[in-house]
Amino acid sequence: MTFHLRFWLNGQEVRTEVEPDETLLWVLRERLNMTGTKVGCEAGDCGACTVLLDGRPVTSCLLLAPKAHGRHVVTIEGLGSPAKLHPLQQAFITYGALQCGFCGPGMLLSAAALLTQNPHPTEREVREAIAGNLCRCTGYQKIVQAILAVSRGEVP
Amino acid sequence: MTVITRPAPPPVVEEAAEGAVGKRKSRHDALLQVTGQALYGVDMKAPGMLWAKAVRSPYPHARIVRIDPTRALSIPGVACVITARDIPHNRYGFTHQDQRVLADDRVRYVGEAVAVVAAETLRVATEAAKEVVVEYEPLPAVFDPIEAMQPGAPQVHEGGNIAARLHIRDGDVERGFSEAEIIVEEEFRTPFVEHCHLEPHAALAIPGPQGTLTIYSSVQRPFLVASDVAKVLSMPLSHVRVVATSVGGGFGGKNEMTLEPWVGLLALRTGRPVKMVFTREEEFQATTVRHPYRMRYRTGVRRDGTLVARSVEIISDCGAYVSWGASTLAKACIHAAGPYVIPHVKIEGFLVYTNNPVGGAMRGFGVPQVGFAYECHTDSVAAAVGMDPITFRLRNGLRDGCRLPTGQVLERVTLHQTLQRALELAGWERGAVP
Amino acid sequence: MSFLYFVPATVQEAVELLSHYGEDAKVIAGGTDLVVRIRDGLIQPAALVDIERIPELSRISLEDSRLHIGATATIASILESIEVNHLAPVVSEAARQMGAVQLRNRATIGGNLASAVPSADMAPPLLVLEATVSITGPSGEQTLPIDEFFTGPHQSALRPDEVLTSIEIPVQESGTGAAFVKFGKRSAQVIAVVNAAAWVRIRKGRIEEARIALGAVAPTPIRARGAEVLLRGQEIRADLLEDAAQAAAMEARPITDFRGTLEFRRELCRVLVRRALEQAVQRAIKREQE
Repeated sequence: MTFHLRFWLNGQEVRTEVEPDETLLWVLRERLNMTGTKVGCEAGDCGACTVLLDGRPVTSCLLLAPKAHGRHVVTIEGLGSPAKLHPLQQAFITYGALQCGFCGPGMLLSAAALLTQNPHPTEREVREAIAGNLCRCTGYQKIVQAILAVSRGEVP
Repeated sequence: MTVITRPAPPPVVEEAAEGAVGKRKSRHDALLQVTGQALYGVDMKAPGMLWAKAVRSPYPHARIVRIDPTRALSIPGVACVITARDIPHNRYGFTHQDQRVLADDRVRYVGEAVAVVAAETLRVATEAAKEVVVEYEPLPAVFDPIEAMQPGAPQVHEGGNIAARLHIRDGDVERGFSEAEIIVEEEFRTPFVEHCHLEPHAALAIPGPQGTLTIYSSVQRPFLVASDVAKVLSMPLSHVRVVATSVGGGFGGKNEMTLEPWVGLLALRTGRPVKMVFTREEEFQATTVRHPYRMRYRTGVRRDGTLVARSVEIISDCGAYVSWGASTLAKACIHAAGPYVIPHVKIEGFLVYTNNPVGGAMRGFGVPQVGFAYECHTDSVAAAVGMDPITFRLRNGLRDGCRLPTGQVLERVTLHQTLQRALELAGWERGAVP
Repeated sequence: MSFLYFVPATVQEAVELLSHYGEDAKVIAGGTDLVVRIRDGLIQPAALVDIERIPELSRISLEDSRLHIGATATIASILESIEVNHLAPVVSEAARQMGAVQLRNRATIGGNLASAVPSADMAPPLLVLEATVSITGPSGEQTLPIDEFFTGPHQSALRPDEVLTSIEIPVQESGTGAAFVKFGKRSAQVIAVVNAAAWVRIRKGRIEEARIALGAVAPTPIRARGAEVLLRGQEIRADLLEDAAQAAAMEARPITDFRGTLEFRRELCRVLVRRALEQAVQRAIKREQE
């Protein structure tokens, strides 16, 4: 069975044919060649595959592609570009909030959704917002600092 | 053939050398990381690429009676199946050449690979891997290193289960214990730990002209992998190029060859690029772990708190193959006495084969296990002589010019300054129990 | 492993599809549990019936002094619901402790119940609130007390041709209070080692009625009715709550697995039930005074 998938990816309309058992993660990475969204556990545990679905963070590894039909998806490629970084992206660089960087795309999208909903979160709220994004390298401290810095408008 | 490669790095304004020390520097690849443009092993692609999937043992120990890939090969889209027979030189290992690229006569742990399938899609490769018929004759298995050391235990390899034995002797430990007024003896155990780097093992092999091979891999030691791949595939080293992609975490877990010879050989056989990515389940089951240690510490001390003798026995659960087991045990033995002045020391380490997952390199390389043990033990010894643990450490800690049990004479030792500074920061007062 | 995928617009349509495919079909809402089970090969459905796009199934509203929560209401929407937070705060309390942001944005209350895992965080609060569930099948709609819904691990009263459509919670009168507590290895993104909920109705320093529910300590989420009896009609005292907690721990039938041993779970039951009772009592007293 082929499913005619149509959705908006970073503001652009996308039409593609998928098998219904493909996840949005697979469609993004393998059919659309958008590899910024990372594959970590494929069980919804690590958050590396986080994308925004209608503005809300979701793990794309658990989202069957038909679920995205007619909806808006934002990936790391849509958050900002090297030429025009999102403040969070700049803050992650400035604060050294990345080591291997593999959790970065998902972490940044979770943080972006938080700041959209709650522009001035407490540290606890930041930690709750990224609780679904595992980082094995940094110990989270600098990630939390970077997000709080953006919320205070302190990023250069 | 076009290969998707890393985008050009952003221009970096080089700072003058004298101005760099003490300044904050951004990672050179940070811009690529935050924009999702950094290419990791899992992101590598090439046109016409096949996907590979391993067939893995469900048994911890079994004889392989027969492997029949006929049914898998008949599935449309399956390009190639390789088994041990296809590996020209099926032995490798850093200190012990005991590891197989693919299991030959026996499997020795759950998850050991016996065959690898390459197919047009990951879906077909996954289905075909289930159709490779492997007939096993289960053998008795051993999961406890102490049991494995007993006579009559199931033999993981020919030649006994003790894969390596290490000794360090300094002074006369028996005399030291006879001079001791109090002797404290304790056992410590540490568990298996999986590195759990967020990015699984992933590689893409691309065949080149004249039988050459380029392998893009999420690996920490590309040059070791290149020489191991060349060896097991009996290729000149000049024909194998291993390119490390961005690595989505390693922590020692990507410190050796894993899937590279499989995708390499499949690429050579099929003449097409071959990609492979481990699932999280494979990461837990079939990649290396931190060795579980059992450590018996015996320490002799005088009533005034002077350490006089220490004996340590370390039993490292090696798992099914040595990998970095002997190297990590050596480092553990070197550190086992702890950062304390002890005139009489005896350290003995045993590396023991079991049918458990293979132990490898992981952050600290054997030292965290003994560090946990000797620091817990130091607290117990301090308590036994009625001293607070800080005073006891300040009294016995290594200083400049001290000699380690290995004979190394230390310079620029900052243990006391570090401890003092930590105490200041913690607001500790001498004599208080922390 | 591919399957047919249907996106019905009405419950009626969904039931027709389920009747047609029978055991081979599975209902999917958020998919946070189902997709993992399919990927792991634990189930191999021939068809999925996606009920997420049936508008009325995600509604949260107050109807005839009962709080109505549609089965596909996400955990996030429950957390954001003023009605739930006001009328059944213990449900919000449990919702806050489920998974993490990404999971709460997808997982649904109906899915948490229909998966019928013993550790389902939504179950203990709904058990102590004596919620009912509405189920629609080929022969129409029926309503079931929630404690008759769970029948075993991954087993519920739902038949293959039925859809869980909503959960109804009686609006709480004055003098009642409830609490949910959970123990896991982290505070986020964990399956409970043990979870517990308590509900009490208090009048003038006396417990008129009490309800206790436990998760992850039996084949299904359970009520600890023996412990409830101990509390009924009694004056509130710390040792009474401790006695009830101990009785609840003895009613639990935990097993040993990689999350915890039988003994550890039993001890957790005692501690968590006592904490839940203490909080429930405090909240009830506060509400009585309001």
